[in-house]
Amino acid sequence: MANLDQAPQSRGVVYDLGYRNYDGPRLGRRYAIRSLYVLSLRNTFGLGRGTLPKVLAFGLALVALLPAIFTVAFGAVAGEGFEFVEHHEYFGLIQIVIVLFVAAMASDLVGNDRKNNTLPLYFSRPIERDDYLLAKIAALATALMSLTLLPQLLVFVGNWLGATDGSGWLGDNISDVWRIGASSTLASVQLAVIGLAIAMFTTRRAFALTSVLAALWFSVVFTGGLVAVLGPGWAAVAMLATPGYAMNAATYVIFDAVPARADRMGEMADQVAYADLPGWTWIVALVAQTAVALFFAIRRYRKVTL
Amino acid sequence: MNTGAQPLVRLSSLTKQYPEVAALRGLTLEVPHGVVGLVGPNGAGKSTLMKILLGLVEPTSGTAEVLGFDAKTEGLRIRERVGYMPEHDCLPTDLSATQFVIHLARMSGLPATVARERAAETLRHVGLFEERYRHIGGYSTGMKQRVKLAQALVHDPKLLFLDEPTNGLDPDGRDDMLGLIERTGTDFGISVIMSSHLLGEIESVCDSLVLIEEGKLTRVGAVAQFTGLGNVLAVEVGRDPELLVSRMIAHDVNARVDGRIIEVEMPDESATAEAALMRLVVDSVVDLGLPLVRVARQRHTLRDMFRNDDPRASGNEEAV
Repeated sequence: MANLDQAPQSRGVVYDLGYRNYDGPRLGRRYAIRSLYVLSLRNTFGLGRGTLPKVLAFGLALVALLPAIFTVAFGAVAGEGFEFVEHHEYFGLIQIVIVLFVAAMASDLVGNDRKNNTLPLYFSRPIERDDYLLAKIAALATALMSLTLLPQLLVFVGNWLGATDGSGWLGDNISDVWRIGASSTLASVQLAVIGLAIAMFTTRRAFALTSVLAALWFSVVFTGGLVAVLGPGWAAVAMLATPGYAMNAATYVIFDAVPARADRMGEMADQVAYADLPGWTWIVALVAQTAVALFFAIRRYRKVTL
Repeated sequence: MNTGAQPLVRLSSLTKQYPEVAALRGLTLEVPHGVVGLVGPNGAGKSTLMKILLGLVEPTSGTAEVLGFDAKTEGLRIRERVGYMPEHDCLPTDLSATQFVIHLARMSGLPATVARERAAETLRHVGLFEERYRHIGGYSTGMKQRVKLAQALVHDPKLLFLDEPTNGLDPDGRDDMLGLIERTGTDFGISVIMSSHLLGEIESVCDSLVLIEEGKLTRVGAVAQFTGLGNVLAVEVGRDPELLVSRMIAHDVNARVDGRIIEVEMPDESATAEAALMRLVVDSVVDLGLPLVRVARQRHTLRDMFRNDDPRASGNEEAV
């Protein structure tokens, strides 16, 4: 900033309209990671981009919120005791919406930089390769929070406002707040990591999209079919290995809502009961799936040639 | 500019072995500050060297220091202080030049407001005005090259790595780019290491050059040292050049015909030798009754480096 006077006016008449040297602060690695995180998060919601990405992102987020909005609206009319959807069921109800969001955004977040070959520009700046990945995962996980945490909180607030004895209800249900926080965070991070790990193996958007859908959605359908014909032991293995099952089961466990009725032909909650596993196994499974995906993602980026 | 004792880049036995090929074979060298040309045929290892210096590629053995920092262990510190313009396309299509350069300025550590100011200034500096608000996808090659230069320059680095910066440009665009590089190097105290396979470019903008071939260092030094006056007089006559050649040889002066030019060798590089030989040539031409077109002392060009000891390079117009 100090060298304003030195800016040459005489030479190169056309272009030299004020290149200056800069001796102000340089904020370094953590700031660089944060900047990448913010830009990636904005990109996810189409900010600074065209109309279509905005419509897609906000549209999916709105659909994910609809059950919560109904709960609040009907709750206001019907009063206490009316529950359109309960916390532990919420992710199962909107699962396809979350998965579509992950599929669409993951391929954008990592695919574009590879397709356009922008990685050399990032990696020639003061960040390391893992930092890049970290920023992208954090961006997608944060974006997913608006499809997981936000509607759950809305349901909570709706139920609270609908309660006849507000403070009494709050006292009875306050523990739901940490359950909401924990389940939303686990689900968002798991889906973000798995989605990105799969999307980063191809630069073709359609390919990335279908692969993520296959891993996070078709796998649930497939496992559902398997469980219907397997004994409890193998059914448990199949469910533990399936991200969609681990996510929902972990949520039931966190809300202490695994049903007593074990039915392998029934809904996902009944199938989870059929597996008859201790609750913590589901949370371990979810964390393990996330860790494996993270391992492959990190390895992928360390090996990328520039 | 840093005029301290520390060189811009110091390499010692730097080797990079890829599974199939050896990209660099034991480079040892000190690169001075200033505008430095990295010359060599395609595949000589120029891009690999740049990536090692940026800490993006690990050398197999040997060490590389940039601005006093070790490229293997202090890559972050180096990357805070340098800018890099890769050879190939590397720009997103769905962002504007302004958005993208601001973003990369922040990635280099500039606070948000400074990043915005400097992105605008740097884009103007490289010659992008109203266009900078449009999506990069619609840019011409020349405009894209300017954006690539701007992103490398936006954080005011101490050192710029430019990998084939004139790639894909038409002659006008090439001249603009070279002018820009020269001004950046001389007016703003930013050292430049620029790779090119075109010697003319290196000759016109660089202070010194490093020549690598097949991963080995072949030449290093000031450009002037390779392009100074030669000790040859170039004589052009209207007809019968052989007559003049035999007359010179009769006077114990080496001479040969090279196309339409007769090259007459000076005994040494002094001005007196030049004047004496010049007089002899002119007298002989008059004596033989030949029409004299011109006579002048020849300059070396970088091409001579190859003509002398690398027969493969000759006949290859301007490229190495």
